[in-house]
Amino acid sequence: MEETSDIVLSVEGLHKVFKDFWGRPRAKAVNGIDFEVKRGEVFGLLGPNGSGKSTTIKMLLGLLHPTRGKIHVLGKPPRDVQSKVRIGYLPEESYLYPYLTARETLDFYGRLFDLSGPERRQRIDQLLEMVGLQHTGRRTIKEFSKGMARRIGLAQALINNPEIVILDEPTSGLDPIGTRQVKDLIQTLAERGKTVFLSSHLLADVEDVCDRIAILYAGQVQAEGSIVDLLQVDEHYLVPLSGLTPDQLQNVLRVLRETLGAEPELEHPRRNLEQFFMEVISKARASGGEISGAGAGKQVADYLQGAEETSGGGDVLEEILKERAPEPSPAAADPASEPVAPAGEDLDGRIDQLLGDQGDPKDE
Amino acid sequence: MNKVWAIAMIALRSSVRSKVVICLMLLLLVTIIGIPLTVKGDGSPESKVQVLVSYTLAFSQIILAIVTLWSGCAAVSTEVEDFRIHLVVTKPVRRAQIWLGKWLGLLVMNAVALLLTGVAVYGLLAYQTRASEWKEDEYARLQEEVLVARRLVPADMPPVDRAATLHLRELIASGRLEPGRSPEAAFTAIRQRMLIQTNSVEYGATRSWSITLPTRPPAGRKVFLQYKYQLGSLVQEPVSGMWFLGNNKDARQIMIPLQQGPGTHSLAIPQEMVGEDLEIIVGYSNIHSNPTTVLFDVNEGVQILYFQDPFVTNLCRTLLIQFFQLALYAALGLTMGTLFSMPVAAFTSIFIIILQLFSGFIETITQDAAADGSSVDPEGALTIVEQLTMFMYKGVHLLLKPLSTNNPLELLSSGVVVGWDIVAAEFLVKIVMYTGIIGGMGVLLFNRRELGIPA
Repeated sequence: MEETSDIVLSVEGLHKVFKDFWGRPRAKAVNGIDFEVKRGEVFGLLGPNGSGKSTTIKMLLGLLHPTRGKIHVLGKPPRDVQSKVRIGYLPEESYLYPYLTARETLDFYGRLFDLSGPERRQRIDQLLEMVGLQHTGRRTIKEFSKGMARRIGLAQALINNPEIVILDEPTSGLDPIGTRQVKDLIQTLAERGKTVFLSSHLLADVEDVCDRIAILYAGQVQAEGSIVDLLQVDEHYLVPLSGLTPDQLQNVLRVLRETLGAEPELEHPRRNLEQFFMEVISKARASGGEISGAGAGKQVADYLQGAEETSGGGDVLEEILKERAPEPSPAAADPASEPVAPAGEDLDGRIDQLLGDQGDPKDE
Repeated sequence: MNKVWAIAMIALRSSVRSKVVICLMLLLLVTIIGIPLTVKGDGSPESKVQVLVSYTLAFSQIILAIVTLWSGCAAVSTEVEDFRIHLVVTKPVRRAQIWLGKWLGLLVMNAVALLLTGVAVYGLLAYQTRASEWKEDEYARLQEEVLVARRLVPADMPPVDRAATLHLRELIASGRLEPGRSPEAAFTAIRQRMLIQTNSVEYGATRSWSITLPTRPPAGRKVFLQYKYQLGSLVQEPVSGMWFLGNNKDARQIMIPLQQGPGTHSLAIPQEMVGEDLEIIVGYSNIHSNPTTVLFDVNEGVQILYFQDPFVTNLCRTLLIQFFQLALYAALGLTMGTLFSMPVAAFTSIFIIILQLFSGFIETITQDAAADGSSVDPEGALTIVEQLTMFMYKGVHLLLKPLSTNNPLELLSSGVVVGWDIVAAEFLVKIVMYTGIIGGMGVLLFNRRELGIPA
């Protein structure tokens, strides 16, 4: 199959049966799955333990041979060596050489991509800064915490500036800062036209970053589609309102009561735990507290941003807090759940009318 | 090549960090320093050099072989087992490059270890054989006969093959060939008997050998006649005899009396005895007081030795041959590590090495069976199991025979040149042929292997 401009990864009728020494079937891990991933998409593979996620990823990478079915990654079979130049892979555990330092690790993987010395050095500097491990010096991987090793794993997956990034449980073992950073990174990569294929147990993370998902169970795709399509509840609406005086609120509720003929549910939005955690850590850092492990890191390595737009090199924590703090609605904080426009024109108009000059609705 | 080299350096670092390898390397250090200091030999210059060169290098070779096999087996198998290989095979690297890189890493480790061993042995040798340590004649013998690389030229082979063939034909024609004995076995026996006859000197008799040198010995260097014999009688006492030397142009005969016990001896002969056609005629007269036959060794009975290279050159060539052997072991370990998990790979590799060490014994079994089937089963025909066993022995022998070549350490410690021809032959057999086949198999299996099987 030739690589088409749109589809970068396709799986058709994929089966994997693990056999014992005598060739007898032992376990049916993947049982006829099909899906396609488009360029620039963030695609998530979900499923409980033993559902076939890791087996599928290993087949995509040529680490396992399919019993039946076809796989094309960037238009080539998974074992094609040349197409690997365009792929980045983060395994579910950090399978790194324990006696290498962070820099040596990235240098080794950079060499496998035939990157020149100066290019390797430049990318390694940026990646280490990105994952907040630029100050680990002579410490070897075996002295790293799980989260730190995970960050190096992520950095090695990006050393070649890949077109398609395959991430197996990318946020596992990371602290909230690292998790947020990975999620932002995934979004930035997608904005840069890169395709991200990930598997995760952490449903909230998947929901935050994925455009489309497939849910696996017993080696089969049980559900597949865009997050919006799959999660949207058509009969319900959420209207974020901020800065209302008690009178304005009563007016809004009255109109709703009259229109719907029922008592509307009223809830105060809460900050989520992630935001709260970020605030606490930010205050602690401002008061001079230092830790020996990974720092917060820069947003995204320059070479991953593209030549025309480079990051300002700011602290990811500051960036996150800047972005998130003014948002009162959990829905607004969630990029995957965009606010749903009210369906009825008259409802729209009446709310506008009610608010009039007295209120300042949040600019979405 | 950048990728292969990167993998090689990682393989090297993995190896030298292994606790087993560290322990064995320490043992190597103890061997290099300990053997020359503790094993004294019989005090003669020859035994001193033999201990240092032969024993030390042999022990260090065994240790390095274990290190190499262990590291080779671990290089692929452990990375497959702990999934580290995932982050390498998912990069744009062919599996052949990974295999090659790991092999190269082991070669670098061995090259460094052998170089250090060589320097250490040479340093200790220079220290222990300094002039002040020895009497003048002993020191001269060390310099002329031991710490050199002398070319060894055996006596021209008498035309026994033709004679043995004729004799065999006569036996067959006259029906005197033993029943049940194969013509091949009979030929081997007849040929061996004739060789012994041509190398034995009966009481009162004189026998001569012709030795043609391939090159003229360098001026100013001594030429040696080396001979090895035993007596036909039960009592192995020193015998009286007379050596005659000459050549086709110069009829002059030089008589040197022989009064030595059985064994290997050498005596310096005038260089002018080498004829213009590079031939030397060596004769021996048995004039012993007791009537006994002097039996010169069939292979090493009468030989001429002369200076070819300095000792250090010989040492380097020997180390090179040892390096080829280790490169083969590295390939074997890697291929086994590609096929099996670590302990299985290690045991399989060691089993193959043991088979190789016992290849001489296996050869004897197969030869005995070929010579006389009844030695296996006195009742007559071989059972199916015995035939299968023999078939297996022959297969193993056929596979391993090319690996049983000259022992360069024996040549080095006896001051005999380890020629480039030996080095080239070892390279062809051990690197081109065996490493090529084993490596090819390793790459093929590695290519086919699924690396993502859950542990």
